[in-house]
Amino acid sequence: MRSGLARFIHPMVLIEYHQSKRHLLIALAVLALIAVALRLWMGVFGVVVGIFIVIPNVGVGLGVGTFHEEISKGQLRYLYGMPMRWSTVWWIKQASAVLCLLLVAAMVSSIILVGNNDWLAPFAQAFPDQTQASVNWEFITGSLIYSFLSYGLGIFTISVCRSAKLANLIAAGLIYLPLAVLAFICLRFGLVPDIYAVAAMFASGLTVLLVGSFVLFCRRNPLVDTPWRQRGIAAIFIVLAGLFFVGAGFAADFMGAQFRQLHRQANSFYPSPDGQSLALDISDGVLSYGLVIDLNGKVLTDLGRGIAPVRDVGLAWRPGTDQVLCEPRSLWDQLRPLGAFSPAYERRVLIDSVTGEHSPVRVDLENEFGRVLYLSHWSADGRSLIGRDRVPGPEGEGYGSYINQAVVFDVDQARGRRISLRESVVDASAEVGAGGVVLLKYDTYGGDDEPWAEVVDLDDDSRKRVTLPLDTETWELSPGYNKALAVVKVIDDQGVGYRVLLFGFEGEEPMTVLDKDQLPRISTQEALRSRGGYNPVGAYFLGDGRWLLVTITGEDSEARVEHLLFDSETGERLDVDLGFMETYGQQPILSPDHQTWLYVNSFGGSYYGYGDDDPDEPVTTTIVAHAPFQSGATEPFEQTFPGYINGIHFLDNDTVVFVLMTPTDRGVGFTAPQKSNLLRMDIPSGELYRLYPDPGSVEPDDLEPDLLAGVRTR
Amino acid sequence: MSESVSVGLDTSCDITIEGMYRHFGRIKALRGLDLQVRRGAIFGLIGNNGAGKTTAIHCMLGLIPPHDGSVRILGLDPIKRRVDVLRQVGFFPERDAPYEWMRLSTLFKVGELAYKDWDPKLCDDLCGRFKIDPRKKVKELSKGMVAKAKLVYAMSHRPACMVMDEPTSGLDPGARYELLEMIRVLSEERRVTTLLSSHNLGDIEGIATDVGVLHEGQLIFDSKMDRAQKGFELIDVNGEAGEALDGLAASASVARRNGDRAQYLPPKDDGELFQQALAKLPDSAVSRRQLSLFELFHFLTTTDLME
Repeated sequence: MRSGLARFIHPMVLIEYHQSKRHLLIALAVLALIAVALRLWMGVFGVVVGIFIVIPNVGVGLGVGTFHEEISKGQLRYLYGMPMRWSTVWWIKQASAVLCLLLVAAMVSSIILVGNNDWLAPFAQAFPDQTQASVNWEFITGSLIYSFLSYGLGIFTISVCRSAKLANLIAAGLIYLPLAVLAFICLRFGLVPDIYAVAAMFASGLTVLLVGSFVLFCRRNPLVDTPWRQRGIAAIFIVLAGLFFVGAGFAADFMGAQFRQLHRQANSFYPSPDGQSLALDISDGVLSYGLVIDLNGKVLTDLGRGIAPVRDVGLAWRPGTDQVLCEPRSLWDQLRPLGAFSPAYERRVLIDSVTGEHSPVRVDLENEFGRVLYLSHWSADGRSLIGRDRVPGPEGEGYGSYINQAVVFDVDQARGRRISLRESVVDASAEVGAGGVVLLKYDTYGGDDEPWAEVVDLDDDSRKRVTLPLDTETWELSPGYNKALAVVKVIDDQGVGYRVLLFGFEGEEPMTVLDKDQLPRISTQEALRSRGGYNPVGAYFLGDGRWLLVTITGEDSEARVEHLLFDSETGERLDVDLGFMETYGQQPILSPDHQTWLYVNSFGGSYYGYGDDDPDEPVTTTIVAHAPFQSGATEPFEQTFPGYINGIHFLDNDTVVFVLMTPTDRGVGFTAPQKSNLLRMDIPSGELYRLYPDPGSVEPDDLEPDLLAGVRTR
Repeated sequence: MSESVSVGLDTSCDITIEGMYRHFGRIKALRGLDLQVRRGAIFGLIGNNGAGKTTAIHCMLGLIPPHDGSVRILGLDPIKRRVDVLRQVGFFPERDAPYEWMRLSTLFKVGELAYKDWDPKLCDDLCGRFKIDPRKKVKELSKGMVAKAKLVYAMSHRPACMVMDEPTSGLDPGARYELLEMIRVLSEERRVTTLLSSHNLGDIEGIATDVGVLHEGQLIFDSKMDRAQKGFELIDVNGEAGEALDGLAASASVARRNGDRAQYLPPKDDGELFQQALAKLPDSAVSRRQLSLFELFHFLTTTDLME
């Protein structure tokens, strides 16, 4: 009688085990030798290309080989005479083949990865020339998926053919057909194949082929052995596979031959200064990459895998150049805990959008554990990146867990130094001065010294001490939260000076502007008191330095973030309702002539997953444009859209371009799929134009409002 | 016109086929096959090449679905319960052999996994009796040894019924004798109902207890072997006998036309009607001849049917 274990093992498993082990070890050894040779000769690039370039044949061979011996030597008849279900034979064969495939993949991967700490780095570095869009991460991932499709086709053809050779011939011919179609469209239209569309297409085709294989195999009677009689059924499945192949692409809404509509899938975009190019940040929550495209959707530069334009607003394009500031965004970088060692900023890089040339951004900072660098602005001349870093302080020290430090460094040669500051606020204006100025405020930490600040002029690298006229008590209050400082360089008939905004901590404290002679000019205490209690978040001098934008979190206000506009010369708060933002994402922007003021408010939904927003409520966004500085300005212009807006940007004084992110039926948020509509809007006429893929006038209601159903949080 | 002869079959049968039809395109392999194998018998199914023996075996095991008719083997319908039938039947296929790279020990391990009643001791015993080395691979064995291994594989799960499709095909005389003798011994020892097909009368005569002749998809003769071996009297009548022949044809078990002569096999009970019709013929028109099994087979499979 059967032993205990024998009752649980299918006889086909034993047969398959003995059959597979006869060739698997040899195959693995041969592949390993080839992979090692390729790596030694050409590096990781060689292994990747060498292995995956032949993946269709490997897949077909594996599929056909699944039943090769049984068919060529008549073993199917032997198996058919055994007391086991015919379908079980098929399933065990598939499991065995998949296991073999995984073993091969693991072996090849191990050879690729040995000595590589960052497992995605080899792929990112494998293609130094990113100008060819087809040679990228999609190529590798697509090849893997393609191998499964090839396998499916192989197992399908062997199910309908009497001869393994004939099956190999047919499958090897057919498997290149979809590849040829995809390659043709890719080359013909210069578009990047979308990995999700391709995956959906291949997976659909594979599923149909596997089902067809199963049906054909189960219908096959090896004792009669006339598989070709099933060619009619096979033809039906081939046609079905083709229909599913194409249909999946359309069903996934990857229209236009199932290729990515870049403008519709970017998470963020950053218009170049001339407005003719867009730097795209295309992320799916796991993998990120960046592209630079023109307004027709043509890829100008593939920035690379695991790398994307920096997300901070206003940092992507280096002023006065064609360079895009990018940061590594590999899976490892994303998984890295915040504040962990070896921060990503060490590998930030400038990539020329025309030539694709990489220029590393060197940061002369000690690689301290937990250091995080926050960039905030380019200097107006594009020479300097300005930001601050944060290093965890000793436990229990200071006013919290961190000590903030200001850092100024040059793109080409970092010249920042560690100074015991906790804040810096930088002039963002491109109009005054070339390099801008930085305000460094020194803390006393309860010492005897008066608090003081220092203005660093990037134009001449000069430093000027600023005396703070406020009493000590005010400045010792929770310095970590006091961010409302601003400085602007002022040039008038008397020379160069610096206008400085000083902010008290709480609503009871005054907001004071020091003129360029460091004399208190205005105090906005009363103006702010009218808003109730508040906490300052940020402050910026705008334009020529007269207009002052103050952002507060109002304690008595319904808004989380509220923007106020002041005339810094008179202290008057302009009676302009700048509204409030439900989210922190975007700052108001000013037109090039500083006469039009624009901001974006979003309502409904729950984009960030916090607050009492109704996640089922459709998200709408309103663009509000004012012209408060123009005499006779009337009511503000308003336009409401479904979804969120990313990267709004003035092309000229009357035109803005922006990306409207309309949520799909799978929700909205950082990780949910979205559709980005690249739009241009004229102010104040409100005329709206779609830039891609069908340029022309469009109404907001035409922007796929039906996709708003089912909005949910991430 | 049914012309089969059933001579002394028991009604308790392990294999019963009724009116089975099966064709492959234009080729009619089985044309209303009726077959019964009584329990414990060794049934020798003989027929020329292309007579339909293999098709009949595949149909009775559920490996090929018949186009019409019914079949029961060990009380099971193999069309609906193929796996159950194969579990209880020892099947010896004619052409199909295990993977040639497979060691016999592995083959028998597969059998242990496939058959819940597999008896490793019996398997070892049979290997010893056949002088089979389980460590050898299939491709290292001679045809005779492969056949013996297949027999061990088919017997080791103690089947109640054995179906063997031309087990001696391609074997040399020595191996053929050994294999047949082993089949006979094992069948008798284990009282296994055995259906053995062959186109070699010598194989059948040696071991079968019952015999059936399959010709052009029909079982045209079956009998107990000892009865068949005693011989059948062939009645050969001159065709000029005229209308008297009609009476003979109606009562004979087999009526054949051979040129201008009519040939008859008497009914199994030497029936009265047949004798009366025969008595009406002049002696000069009738001749009698005793047929051996070989002659009987030749007579049944080469002469034309009488209309």
